[in-house]
Amino acid sequence: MTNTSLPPLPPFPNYTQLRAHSRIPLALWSALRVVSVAATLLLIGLLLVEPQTGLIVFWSILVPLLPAVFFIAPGLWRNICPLAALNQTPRVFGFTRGWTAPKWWQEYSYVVGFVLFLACASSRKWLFNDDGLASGLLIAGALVGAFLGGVLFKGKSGWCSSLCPLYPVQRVYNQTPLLTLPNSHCTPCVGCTKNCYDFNPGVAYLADLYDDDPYYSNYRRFFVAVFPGFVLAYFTLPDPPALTLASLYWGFGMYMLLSVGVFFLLDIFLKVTTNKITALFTAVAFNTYYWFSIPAWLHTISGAESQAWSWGLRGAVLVATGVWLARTYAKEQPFLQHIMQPEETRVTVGAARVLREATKTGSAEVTFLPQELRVLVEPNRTVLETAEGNNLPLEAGCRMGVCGADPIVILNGMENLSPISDDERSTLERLGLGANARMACMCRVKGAVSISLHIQDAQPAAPIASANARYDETIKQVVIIGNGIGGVTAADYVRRNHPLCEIHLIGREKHPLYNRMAITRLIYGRSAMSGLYLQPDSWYDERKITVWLNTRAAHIRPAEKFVELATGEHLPYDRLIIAAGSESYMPPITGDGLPGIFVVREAEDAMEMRAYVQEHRCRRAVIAGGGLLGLEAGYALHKLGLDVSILERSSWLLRRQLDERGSQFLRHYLEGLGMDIVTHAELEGVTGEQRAQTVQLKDGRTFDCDVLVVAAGIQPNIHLAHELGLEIDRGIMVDEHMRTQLPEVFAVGDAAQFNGKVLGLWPVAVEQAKVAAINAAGGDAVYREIVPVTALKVVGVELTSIGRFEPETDEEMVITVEDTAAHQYRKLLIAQGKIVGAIFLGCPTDVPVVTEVIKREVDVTPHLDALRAGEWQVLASAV
Amino acid sequence: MPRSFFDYPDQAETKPADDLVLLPHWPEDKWALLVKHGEILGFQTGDDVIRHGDTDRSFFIIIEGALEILIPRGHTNQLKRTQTTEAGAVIGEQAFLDGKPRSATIRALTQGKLLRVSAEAFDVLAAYQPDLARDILFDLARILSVKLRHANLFIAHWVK
Repeated sequence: MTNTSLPPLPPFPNYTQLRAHSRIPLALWSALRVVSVAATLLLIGLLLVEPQTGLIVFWSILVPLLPAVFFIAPGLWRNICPLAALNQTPRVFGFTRGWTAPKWWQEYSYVVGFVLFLACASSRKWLFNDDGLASGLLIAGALVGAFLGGVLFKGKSGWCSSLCPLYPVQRVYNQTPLLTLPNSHCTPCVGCTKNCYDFNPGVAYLADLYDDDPYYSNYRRFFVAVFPGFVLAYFTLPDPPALTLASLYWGFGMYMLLSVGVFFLLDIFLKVTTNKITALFTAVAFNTYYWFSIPAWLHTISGAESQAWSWGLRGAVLVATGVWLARTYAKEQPFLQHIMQPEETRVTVGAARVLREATKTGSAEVTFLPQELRVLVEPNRTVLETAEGNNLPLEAGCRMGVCGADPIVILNGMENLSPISDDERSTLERLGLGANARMACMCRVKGAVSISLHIQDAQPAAPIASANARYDETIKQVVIIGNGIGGVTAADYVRRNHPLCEIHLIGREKHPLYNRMAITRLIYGRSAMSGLYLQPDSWYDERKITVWLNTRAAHIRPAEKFVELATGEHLPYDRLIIAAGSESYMPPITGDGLPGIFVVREAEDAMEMRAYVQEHRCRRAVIAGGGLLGLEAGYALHKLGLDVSILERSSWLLRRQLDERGSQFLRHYLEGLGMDIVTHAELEGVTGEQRAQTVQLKDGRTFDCDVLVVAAGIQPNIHLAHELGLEIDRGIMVDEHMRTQLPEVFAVGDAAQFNGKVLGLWPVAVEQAKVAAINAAGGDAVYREIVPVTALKVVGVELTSIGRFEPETDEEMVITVEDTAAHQYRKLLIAQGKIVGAIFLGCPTDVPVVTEVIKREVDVTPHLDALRAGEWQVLASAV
Repeated sequence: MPRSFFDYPDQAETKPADDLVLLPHWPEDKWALLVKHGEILGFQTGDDVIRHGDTDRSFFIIIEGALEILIPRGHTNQLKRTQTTEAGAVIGEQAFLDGKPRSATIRALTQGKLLRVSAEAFDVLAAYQPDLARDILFDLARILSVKLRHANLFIAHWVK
């Protein structure tokens, strides 16, 4: 039965695929075969008893129909042919020997078959056409031959697809059936015949022509080459006794020789494939046959001559042949493309099973639009990690929901994501994004979700509520120095809290707020600043913030309360917020100032480095500093194709984020990438003619280099504060209101020092900026120190470090869990029952729960055994 | 001749050629590691898993489902199906190796899943497990060589 849910048929379907689409039940074919065998036996009887009638029925009525059947619906004949029915009888009833035909049989049975055909058909002219006994014996002999073939050989290799004299004729006519009926005999296929028509009717003949064995295909080409000549000879040579038998066969021979000659001439001189010529010869043979046989056939069945009918039928044959020829030519190209295609690479059954089982671990489907990419992710993976794993255009930043680098729009399944945090909410507010937006780094997947990366699809944020905010109307002007995350957050929160005042934001760099944490991407990526800006262009205007880009604050005049710009303009202020950030620390080294020495702090630094590498075709880079920035810069240059050495002063990398053991894991990975890690390496200086060429260490070692990147840490920008006479240690000293000694001047972020610390982290800058802004607008807010969290994401390394990780007293407890094979290392530092710090290397799923436990200062004493056993998810019950 | 037209069910020699099986001797734990480094993608009927002309440098292993391979043909560059492929097949390995744009579109005929290993993921795998990465590269190169030999034989035989 036809099943509408079946996959569509391929271009050249085999018989099992055709059968699945066929409406004809196999039982019907079996019944038709019984009828056909019975009718054949009756015909033999008729030929013997009533030869006159039998000969007319057989030779004049039935036989002329066969070429048309082979041409239009060859499958019909293959299924009901009485010879085939007898041939398959031993198999159906289980008494066939089922031998595989010997090689010589496989090769020559076709040749014997067409010789038999040529001999029998030419002999019609003097023997079979007029002799009922001979014709009856001929049919009976064929039935016996077919049956014996079936008793001995498997499948159809004993007769139907080998020795049968009609088989060569079928093969030339059945190349491109108008009506394809699937083989109903072979259940199952036993693979008895090469390029079997019954197996794949659409390509069997082409497969013969393009067979690897040239003899195999040449026998078939020979037959089609002689065929038109043979047909013409049959109809144009006089019947004996007008000719002697010798002359008759000589005549057939000459016609066939001429036919073969024309074939090979065409094959040699026409620049077409052989298939074009074989199909043409088939068409000529077919038309020749019916040109001559149609009038006689019409006469036999109607008893009268009919010119009109003859010409009509000849015309119909010609048109049908034209269609057939076009279809035969059309399929050669797809056939060749198919066979010329490389065969498919596969994996073993066992491997396929492992793959299947890997997808059964309760994974959830995350769909990204407009890419329509569906990713099956393990629970608790973030959307950002998923996007990064699939090369989707989403930039990473702080990975803590603060910077605003990776906003996404949730189209469906918001309930299947981890809940939104306060940090993330205020980032979304800053970006002006509404209820359907999230930050990808903060979305841990719990179930199916669909996501758009087109941020234009986001709902707008609710209007900034300022009616309830406390603000001081006497404050008319707020000036903010610094257009980094601290300055922008401060401007945003001043506006939220004070709807009326003028806000001036001064940025030394040329760019509006950008994703500073991703600037190393500028070194190896080809898209420059595109994707790095964190806010739309209209952001400042919408908040009535006057932004001064590419502008330097030259002086601050506290007495007159204005900021003097380097352009000469004055910006008066009632409140001033210094968010000037920090710059790279450049240790004193010899050779400082040579071209080829870089720091990586601003977008321009990274872009200049990329330009320099290209201009000087740099091959080797040395990074001085094994901290976060040094590693990221090293990875970026590695991606750009340079040989990279990373120099670290101490005995391990990431001293501020990792302990020694954790650092070994990291080092192993980076060395695996091909980076050279050198510890206990202190930079002395650089030498080179006109540009940096050799790096020297204090212990005398030297390294060749084209580029030296110094990543030795940061130093707060405090020049302006000096003029103000503010108290300065490493940074500008501030109180818990972020206020400096001058009550109208605040400092935040990298420029500020609170409680003895300059942490240089985005979440810290954001938190401090909020507090300073509220206070600058006339409110009252207090800064609460946050536990510093840092994350490193060199592709392939997932490192998160929270708080401190080395014990300071004997009472403090350390728990480490490591899995070398899985490249995972985890560490907890517990003081007085509470987790105060943690390291996660290669196991990001534990990060959120532990971060929450640290924030809430949960007592984990009841869970110590589980923590030691590595089952850190038990903490989920504690928060 | 192409086996795909005449895949007779009982003949061992017409089963997928052994020389085109990727990493036939890899134990299951190595496959599990490869899965960890790759991405599992789902697809629905009609989804384009690979688009002609894209420069995504990944190879895929089909885990479940069937897909069709479409190649642009003729003046209009209309996509025409050339073959179908299903679970267990490795696809896209050529673009993975040479980084050139995809030559075909691969569209899902059913729903299903596949494993994707991108060049970036492979880099990470190579850093952590150089032995596995070497196995994969050698075997992909070997299979490419087998196919090149087949192609050479074919061309030598049929170029007039």
